[in-house]
This record gives sequence, C-alpha cells and structure tokens, in this order.
Amino acid sequence: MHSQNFVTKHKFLITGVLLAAVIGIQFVRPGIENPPVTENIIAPHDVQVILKKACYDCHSNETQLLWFDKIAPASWMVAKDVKDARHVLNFSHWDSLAPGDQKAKLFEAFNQISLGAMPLKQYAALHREAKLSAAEILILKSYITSLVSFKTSDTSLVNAANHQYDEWTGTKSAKVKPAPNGIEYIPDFKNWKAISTSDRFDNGTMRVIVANDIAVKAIKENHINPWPNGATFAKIAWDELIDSTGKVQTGAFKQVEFMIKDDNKYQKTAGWGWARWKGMQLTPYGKNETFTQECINCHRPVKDNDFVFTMPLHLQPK
Amino acid sequence: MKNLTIPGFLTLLILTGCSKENSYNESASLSDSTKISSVLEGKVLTSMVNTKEKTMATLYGNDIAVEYARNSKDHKYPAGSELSLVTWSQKEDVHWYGANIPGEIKSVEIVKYQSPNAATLVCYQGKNLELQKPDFKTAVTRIAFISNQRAAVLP
Repeated sequence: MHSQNFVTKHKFLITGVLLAAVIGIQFVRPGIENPPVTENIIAPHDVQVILKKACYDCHSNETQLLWFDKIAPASWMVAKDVKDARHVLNFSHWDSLAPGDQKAKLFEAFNQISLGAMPLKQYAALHREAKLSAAEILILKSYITSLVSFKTSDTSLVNAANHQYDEWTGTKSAKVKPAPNGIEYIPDFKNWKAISTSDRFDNGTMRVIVANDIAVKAIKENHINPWPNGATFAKIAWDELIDSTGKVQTGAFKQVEFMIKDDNKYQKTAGWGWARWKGMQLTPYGKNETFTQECINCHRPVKDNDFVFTMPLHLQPK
Repeated sequence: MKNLTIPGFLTLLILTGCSKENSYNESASLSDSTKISSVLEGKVLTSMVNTKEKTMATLYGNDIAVEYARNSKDHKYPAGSELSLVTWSQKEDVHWYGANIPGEIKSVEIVKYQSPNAATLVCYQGKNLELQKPDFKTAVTRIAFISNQRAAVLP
C-alpha cells in the first residue's frame, strides 16, 4: 500500500528519471568507426552486390547502421557484433589475406550462410535484406566453385611429398609442445580407428578423421549426440597429389587437429578442447588461447550436432 | 482432420529418417551381416580418390602390416600382414560444401600375406558385397596395386 502511494505520488519523477537514464546512456557510445578500406574483395559484380547487401554491415569497413541500431543499449551490442565480425572476416582488408586464405574464408562464409548460421538470427530479424534467397546462394556457390582448381599437381608438390616420406619412414616423433590452451599432443592417434574421410576439393587436402576408444564405443552404442566426455577425434590432413589421369593420393602431411569432449573442463569452449599442430615439426597453432574462438566459430553451424561436422561410419558392435 | 494427420505423420517419419542419416553415414557403413564389417576397424594406411570415377578409398592394415608400412620403404610385407582396400562412391558432404565424403560402398578387397612372396586376394563387390572370383591376372594386378601404396606420413 505504502509503495503504491509512493508510485502514484512520484509518477512524474519516476518517468523523468527513466527518460533521463535512456537519454543519458545515449552519450555512452562505443562508436563504430569506418576505417579506410585498403582493398575490397575482387569478385564478379553480382557477387559483390550480394556481399554488400548481406555481409558488409558487419564484415567490412563500410558499415551502414539503421536508426534503431544507433540507440543504446542496442547500439552497444551492435558495436560488439561489428567488432567481432570484422575480426573474423573483413572484406575491406582483402589484400591482407594470402590467396589460399581468401578462398578458405569464402568457402567458410558460404557454408555459414548455407547452413543458416549467418547472418545472425537477431540481425536478420531486423535487417531483412541480409537474408539471402536461394537464387543468391546459388550465385555465391557457383562463384566459389569457379575458384577451385582440379589441375595435375606440379612437381614441387610431388617432390615435397617424396622428400617428406623418405625422411619420415622409420623415424620416431620427438617431443611436441602443447597447444596455447594447455592441451598436450596425443601421439597415439595414429592407432585410432577411422570414422570418416574427407576429400576437401576446396583447399586440395585429403583428410582422415580418427576416433579414440571412448568415441568408437559411443558410435557402436548409438550415443553420439551429445558425445560422452573423453570422446576424442583427430582430423589428419595431407596435400592431395593429383596425377594426369585424375587419381589422387595423399601427399605431404599438413596438420592434425583434435577435439576432446569434456563438458566440465572445457565448458567455456563449447564443451570441447580444441588443438591443432602443423607440419612435420608439429608446431602448435595459435598465438594464445583465444585461437579456440576460430575453431568454435567455424563449427557453430553444426552446434546441434554437438559441434561435430563428421558423420561417422556406423561401426558395428561385435 | 484425418487428411491433415497423415501427411503430418509422414513428415515426422521423413524428418526422423533424415536426422538419423545426419548423425551417421549409414550408406558408407558395413552391416554386421556382411561378416567383414571389422575391416573398417583396421588402422589407416592411406586414402585415395579417383576424380574421374568419383570414388574414394581407404587402405586399412592389421598391426603387422601397418607397423611394416610405416617403417619400411619397400613393399615386401611380412607373413601375417593383411591389407584391406575399401572403395566408396563419393557424395557431397551436407555439412560442408567443398568436401566429398564416402557414399555407397562399392567394393572391399582384402590381401593376406602368407609369406613376403605369397599373397591371396579376396574381393567383394557391389552394394551387397558379393564375393567375387577374380581371375589370376586381375588378382596379381590388384595385389600389386594395393601392396604398392605408400603409408601416409604421420609424424
């Protein structure tokens, strides 16, 4: 009763305070600036139009905000999204990426779009133009397909593979440094069971995905979504060597990547421990532990599959 | 109402069917009834693709074969070595445009070494993996092809 009296008495005061607060926070601006464009992506006109319409507000230095994006507190979220988005992919600094990385970014972006992870749902709800039609998706698909080359591997790739093989046969692996997030290398993956293979024609690599005993048991017992704690995968990648008849063999070893399930220990990184070691030197990937954000971003479209892309072979219980 | 219920039920059936296929790659798997499903549990020696035929294959080995292939450059497999080449037609990975993954199983070829100079080939073909009787020349060619594959480098 007392409080109701207070509200009635001070109705104007309360409204005034709220209004002042809303106006006040408008002066707290994280500010989205549009730094200079160093080099825009070079692509066919129809592709450029689609990218500008659907992606550029967040993934370029040509952000164009609508009036409601500029009102706090919404503007604070928008500013954070744009900052994160530019960090992941920025079409305005296209020249900062090597040609192979440019292609990889486009394939990743396309898959994020076609699997419905991009544009972000909350963004697309207010920015209808960002949502791509089936026809527009097809234009992007045919563009990225045109970037793939299926030509015979040159001798340098073949020589590199031969050299690596000759050096490797019979040698034992040396001590390997842990990944920046503290995950130790697991040399035993060589003896794990294969659950799939992947011919990555987008980047010219062959991949074999192997799983430890806990994961294999889960496959046999049909408990793979979510995967049990301890389930671990290794994805091994080699260059693809293509001969003149179109036959492809594994060439030089590129990298091995791990996903280790533990929803307590790795709660902050989507329930998985992520790690990657590159080259014959097995150099840990990532400058610091935030590299895992890259892994999670790429795997996000399959979050309903417990963040796992691979559809495993259905190994049989015996 | 009845008319609405039946399509609804069918959709549900289709959806559950899809979700199962989304979690396992069933078409590329070997059912227990084939009696050779354990070939998929060998260690991986290497894998290959034939872009013209749109097939991909994985070469598996038992412990003796894998130990040998990872440590020697010649291909004189010791007695007891067993190599299995499983070949699939390729299909697009629904989770990643830019990747092809195993589709239907096309064949399983198993090479067993009795001695470094004597090996036999057992060959299964087609979706139902029917046992084949390859002629002598084919058997010799296939044993040589399978045995001459290099182990993929694993540091």
